[in-house]
Amino acid sequence: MNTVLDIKGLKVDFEIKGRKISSPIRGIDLSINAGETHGIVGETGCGKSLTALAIMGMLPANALRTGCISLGDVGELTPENIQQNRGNTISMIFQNPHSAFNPVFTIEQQLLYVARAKGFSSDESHALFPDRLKEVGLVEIHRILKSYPHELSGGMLQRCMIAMALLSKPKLLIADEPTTALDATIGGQVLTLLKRLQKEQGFAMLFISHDVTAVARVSERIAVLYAGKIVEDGPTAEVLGDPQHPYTKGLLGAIPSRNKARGTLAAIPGTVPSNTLGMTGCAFKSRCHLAVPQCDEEPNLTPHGHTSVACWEVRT
Amino acid sequence: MLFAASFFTFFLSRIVPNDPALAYIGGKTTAADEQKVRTLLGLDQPLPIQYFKYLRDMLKGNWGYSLSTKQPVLSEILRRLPATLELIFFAVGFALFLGIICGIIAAKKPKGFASSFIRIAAIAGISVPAFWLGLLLQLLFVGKFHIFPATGEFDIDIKFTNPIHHITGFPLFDSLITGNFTALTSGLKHMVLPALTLSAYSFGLITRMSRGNLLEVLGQEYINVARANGISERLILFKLALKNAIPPVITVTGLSTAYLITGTFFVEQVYGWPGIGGFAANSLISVDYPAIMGITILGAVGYLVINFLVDIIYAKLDPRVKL
Amino acid sequence: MITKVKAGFTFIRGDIWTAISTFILTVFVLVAVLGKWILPYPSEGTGTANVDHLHIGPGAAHWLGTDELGRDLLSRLMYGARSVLFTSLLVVIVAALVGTVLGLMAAFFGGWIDSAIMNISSLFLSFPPLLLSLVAVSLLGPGLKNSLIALMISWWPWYARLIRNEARFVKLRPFVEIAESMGVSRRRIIFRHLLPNVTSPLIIQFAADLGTVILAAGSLAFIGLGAQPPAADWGLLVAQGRSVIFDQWWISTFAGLAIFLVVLAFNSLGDVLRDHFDPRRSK
Repeated sequence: MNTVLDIKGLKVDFEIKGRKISSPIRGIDLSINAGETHGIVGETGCGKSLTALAIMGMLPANALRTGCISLGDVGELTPENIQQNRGNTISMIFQNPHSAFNPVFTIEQQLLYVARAKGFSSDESHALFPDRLKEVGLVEIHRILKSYPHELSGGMLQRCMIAMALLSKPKLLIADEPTTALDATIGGQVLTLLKRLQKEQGFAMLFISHDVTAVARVSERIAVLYAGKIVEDGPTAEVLGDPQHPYTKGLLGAIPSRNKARGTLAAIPGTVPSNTLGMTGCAFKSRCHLAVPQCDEEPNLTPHGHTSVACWEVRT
Repeated sequence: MLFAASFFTFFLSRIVPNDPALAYIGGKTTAADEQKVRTLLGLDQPLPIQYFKYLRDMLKGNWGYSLSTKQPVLSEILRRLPATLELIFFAVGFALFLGIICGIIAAKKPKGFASSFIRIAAIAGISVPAFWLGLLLQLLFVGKFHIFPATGEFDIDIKFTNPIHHITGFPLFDSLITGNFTALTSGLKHMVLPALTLSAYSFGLITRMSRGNLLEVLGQEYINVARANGISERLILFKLALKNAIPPVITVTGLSTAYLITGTFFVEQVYGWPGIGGFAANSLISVDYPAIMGITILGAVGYLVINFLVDIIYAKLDPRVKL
Repeated sequence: MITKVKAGFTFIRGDIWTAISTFILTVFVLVAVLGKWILPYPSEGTGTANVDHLHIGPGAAHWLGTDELGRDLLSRLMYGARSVLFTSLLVVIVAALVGTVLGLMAAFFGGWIDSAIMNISSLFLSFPPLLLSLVAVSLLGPGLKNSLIALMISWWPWYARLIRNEARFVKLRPFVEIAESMGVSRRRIIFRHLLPNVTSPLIIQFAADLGTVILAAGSLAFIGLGAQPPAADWGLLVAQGRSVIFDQWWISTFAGLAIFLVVLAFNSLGDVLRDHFDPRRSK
């Protein structure tokens, strides 16, 4: 098994003047192998994007990260070595393709900046770009290279962003809501593209989204994130087909789909806690219909068949 | 727009209580003389005809005669233009240079001490009365410390010892290209205080705009993306962010340069600078109608030109803008 | 009301610079309002010469020294504060009123009214700022009254254009259309709907302009086209001190310093107001 990303005990706290004000990530363990995609689903505010930023070493200045993040051969990622790895061995693609590009530079110029940061010479870059753009399924390559971001469509820009991220053939690709801002058909194409590229280039992918269907399409394994902790983790088919954690069940029950019978969508009562500081026990207990006194103690991820679940009530 | 401007000044000068003819002659004359002058100046014609004559004359280059110097207004203006242009050049250049640098420093560490200091300096620049600053600088650097000379564009004896060969008509520039270094140093020494005084307002505006804009740009998503792709912070700041932040700074520079035009009226007066500003100030005080009208037209034209230039530069820098 | 005042205090105490500016302005307004009653040398302040005390430097008896007619400079400055404050207030209020009314009308009625008002404004605005005022005063003749008229004439177009653009923006919002379709009278729409929404840019511009007008009026006086002696206008005092600047440096220095500090305070407060009303807009 070729483990590319290995996260152990990741915790992120925010502090002001030495005082902790919130704990958006309270302990995440995750590992991804080469050529494999691991998805993270969760509602807004559960800490998904922060996880990505933590891996990239791009947390805000007042954030305190503990835990160990290691990348394949590189070893542990520290503030010292993260700069060289960024864009090199780890790349990231973002949600909004229009705002991800610098409006006053052409696509080619922006690609050049990135390429040069990774050590390519000007000539090498110019030779490289057409192929890379073709790889992501773009045509009219010459026109696109000379265009400014506002002249291109969202789908095209997203493909450019993917090309930019894969310039250096990274070992790990983090995708943070890459299809959320695109309409359904284009989004679907991007997902297919990502999967194809993964098969061709063999990188590991961390796919983050609140859209369970999108995550399901590309990921072999899914982790469900709630209030900064993973509550269920396992192969996609099992987590989605036979969810164990009450939150997962609620989440999946709330998704409209053609196959479900008509009726009201099940909503989970209550809201995601905005700040878990000072909370004891399971973060979901206030919204959980299975809550028992034992839930005052924090449940850990325990294996349950092929998946892992963090819940006291899931035993047999 | 230009027509409207000329019409406006013309209108102003004709509706005003003072009689232009009287002003021209001086007052101790007989009624017959006054009438002669009136006919001479065409003041007895109906207003619309006067206006057309005025326009026609303007386009031909005849801008009337200055009441105080009795010379053609146009030649007076052209004679003094280079000195003022050089002054404005240095003032704006200095303001831009220092302003952008301060803006960058203040944006890199928005909460730091340097940033607060720069912000206050910027507001101070906008608030300081130019004439007072000029006097103050003179007091300190001429009176107290004796570093810089007080007035004039060059040391008085330069005309005799190292006369400047006039090629372009711009004294400082000419002395540079003819290798006349004595004159050049003398000129630069004289230039420092007036240019500094004049630059204060622009500096304030430019610094404020640079800082604000840069901060906003640095918070944009594409900066984050660049960082995620491994581009160094220095490159991000100086290449990627700056190009986005600069265009509005250019606009602001243009605006303040226009303000500078009237600023020269005061600064040149204080420093005895032989430029249009001083001429304008005197014309205004002595109510020298032809000169005033000439200056106004010049001011409006200058403003137009500056705005035009700003638009062009802006469009070049920002591809989203179509001319 | 109380909560608003309290909120006001919190944001003033926000940083020390704002506190200083507020302090300066309060002192300024107090001095201007209380005028004659608190001058250290009342008669000198208002203009009476004191020939025995010519050209004394700053010291115990005269904190800022005396001027060329022996009058205590501090008193002169304090007395002049009144003219400075009220004249600039007058100019800005009139300009703002005229400009706002015209701007609202232009925005609301659109069509030829809009074009007419905007074209006239553009005409005025096509000149470098202050140039118009200078020319106008020159032609009207020097003096405080004329300089104020000149300034008012030059300033109203800024307000007209600002208000018109802001009001147009507001007008595009659905609630105005709804009001119109429900038959609300025009006057009501203008005053009850458009006006309140343009007040924040108006206030910001007002505060900043106070400072700018003080500067402009002072400049006019300096050149000799504004207030005339024996008025105690600060710009005038700077001019008067100019001829003796190398020896009796205190006259021009302190008079100009007064202008500087007050304008600085107004501009700072204008900035703070701008941040407060719309922190989204970058400085």
